[in-house]
Amino acid sequence: MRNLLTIALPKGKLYGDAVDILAEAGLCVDGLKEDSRKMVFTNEKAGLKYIICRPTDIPTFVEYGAADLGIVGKDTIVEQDKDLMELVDLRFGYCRFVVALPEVTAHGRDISQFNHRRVATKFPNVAENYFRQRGMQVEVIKLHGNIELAPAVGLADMIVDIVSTGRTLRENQLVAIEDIFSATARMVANRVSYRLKHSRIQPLIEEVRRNVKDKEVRS
Amino acid sequence: MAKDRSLLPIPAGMRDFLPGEAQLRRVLENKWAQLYTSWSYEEVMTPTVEYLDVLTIDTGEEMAGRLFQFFDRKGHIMVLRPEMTTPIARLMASRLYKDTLPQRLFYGANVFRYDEPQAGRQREIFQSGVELIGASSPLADAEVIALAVEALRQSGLEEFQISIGQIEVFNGIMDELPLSPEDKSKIRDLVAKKDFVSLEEFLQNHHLNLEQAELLLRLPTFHGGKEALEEASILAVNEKARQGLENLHQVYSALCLYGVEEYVAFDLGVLRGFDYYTGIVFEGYTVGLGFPICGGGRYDRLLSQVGYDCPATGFAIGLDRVLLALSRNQQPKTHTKPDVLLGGDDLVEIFAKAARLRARGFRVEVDVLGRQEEALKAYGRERGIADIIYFALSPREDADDVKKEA
Repeated sequence: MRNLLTIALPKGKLYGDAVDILAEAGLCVDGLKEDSRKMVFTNEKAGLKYIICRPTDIPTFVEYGAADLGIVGKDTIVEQDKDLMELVDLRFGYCRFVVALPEVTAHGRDISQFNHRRVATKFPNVAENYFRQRGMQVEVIKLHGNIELAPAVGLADMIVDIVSTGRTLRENQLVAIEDIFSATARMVANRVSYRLKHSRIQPLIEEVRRNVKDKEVRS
Repeated sequence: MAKDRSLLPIPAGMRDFLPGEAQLRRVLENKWAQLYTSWSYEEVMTPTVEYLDVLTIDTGEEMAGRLFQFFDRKGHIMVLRPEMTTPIARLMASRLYKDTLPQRLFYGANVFRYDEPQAGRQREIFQSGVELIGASSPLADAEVIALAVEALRQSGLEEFQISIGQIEVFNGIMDELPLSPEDKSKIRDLVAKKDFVSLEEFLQNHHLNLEQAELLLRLPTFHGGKEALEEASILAVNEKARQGLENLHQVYSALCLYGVEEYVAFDLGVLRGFDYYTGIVFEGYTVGLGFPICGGGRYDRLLSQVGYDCPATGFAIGLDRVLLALSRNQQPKTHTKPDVLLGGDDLVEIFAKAARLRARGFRVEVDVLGRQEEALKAYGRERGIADIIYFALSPREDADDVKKEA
């Protein structure tokens, strides 16, 4: 068991880049890029196992040690506040957490003027922390998707969401009035695995870090 | 009528131990108690409930918001103990302060933390541990680490490792950084959260491209056996860090003499409880469990905070976590069968027989339902009891073959 390294990869947007980063670091990623519905890939010869799961489940897999390493967005990490080791900023999957309002209400106003409002979000912890730190009281409404719908139908006055290009906001006549923070993909490790499998994990981490830096210099 | 079972819940994060499970726990507790005793540690017990202001003298922020607390009828704030080291420090300072040092004490106790019950965190936790009070020598640290190794070994765990760090190496490097106390506390938070990405950003944003800042980031990479400790000599940026490393060397030499080096590794990234620990810190891990099974270290300040200035070191093992790790390789235990079932109407004979068999170490069940012979045998067979003996008041002639000696 100590010879097998298990890595959790996020389905969806980050998947392609995540596989690339592992391949560049010299790991065997055979079969990972093929269109398949398999959720577990085991390569015994290389001592590797990949778990492919929902991005929001990655911190859980890693925290319990079901996966030794994981690749996941900082947005997910912050929202869940799990006990993980955050090791490398992979610099892809860039997005921003913003507070956004309908254009008509936002016009020329500061966020502090919107006290006791309803806020729709997929990230209730991020939203609550943000408003608490500003001494604002709001009612946070947890939704599971299409947050931009909430202000349009009168469910909420504003939203806290992640945006990458801002297109969705514009299409729904919303405007970002505050940046909360920006996020990128991270490589995370289980704290026990990091120590028990240190001789495998540490060189991998260093290789990944070097590659990320090289790319930054080149671009 | 049977009650709806959903109406009989227990609080989140608490658990029952069923027959078999409780037995496994008892066996482990006894084994450890015997082991600690053979190393000359004495058992102590303290109350489950104590005053908030006494128990939180030292724990600082780590326990804030994680305590079970309530008022007594006079309005005092009470807590369920969240760990055992502070109660034992209180005991030392208030009851055992006249005793000759060093004192070696051990405990097996339940402690309570209001954590979200997941990933190995429960709200009622069973801890087994020792405190060695009144000795600051590396030999004292080596003794408790060697004892922790022995306890884990005797538990039946096959693959485990104790990672040893030294908080003074970290503190020494921190002393060299030209930062405000607030910034340093921010760094400690990030290290405690193991968020090395934010730590790197923070150091860069404060223009700390210094060698020392780099060392801070590289701390967790100093990992392994003796050779890792040699490499770590570059961390000796000042006297504090140098002494920390020297102390690690000494503890390691002693651990080699104990013959436990195969179970220990250095890891300068093991940094726990900054408010609490003052030297060696360590954690135990086992394969297949994503969270530590034990932890400990040196806490030379705590006792002075309760008015009894004296160095100390110790550890606590999470009994539930060890049981969890063991359960991965073991069949779940269920009820234990009695060896012998006795029944009948000759109570004088039954009780005398039961007493004789019990004295010889057999597990004996005596029927209390007044079963007739056939019913007794049927019941015994159903439970899988090998020996069933029926005592009739006036034995029938053919009854001898039923009486089988156990």
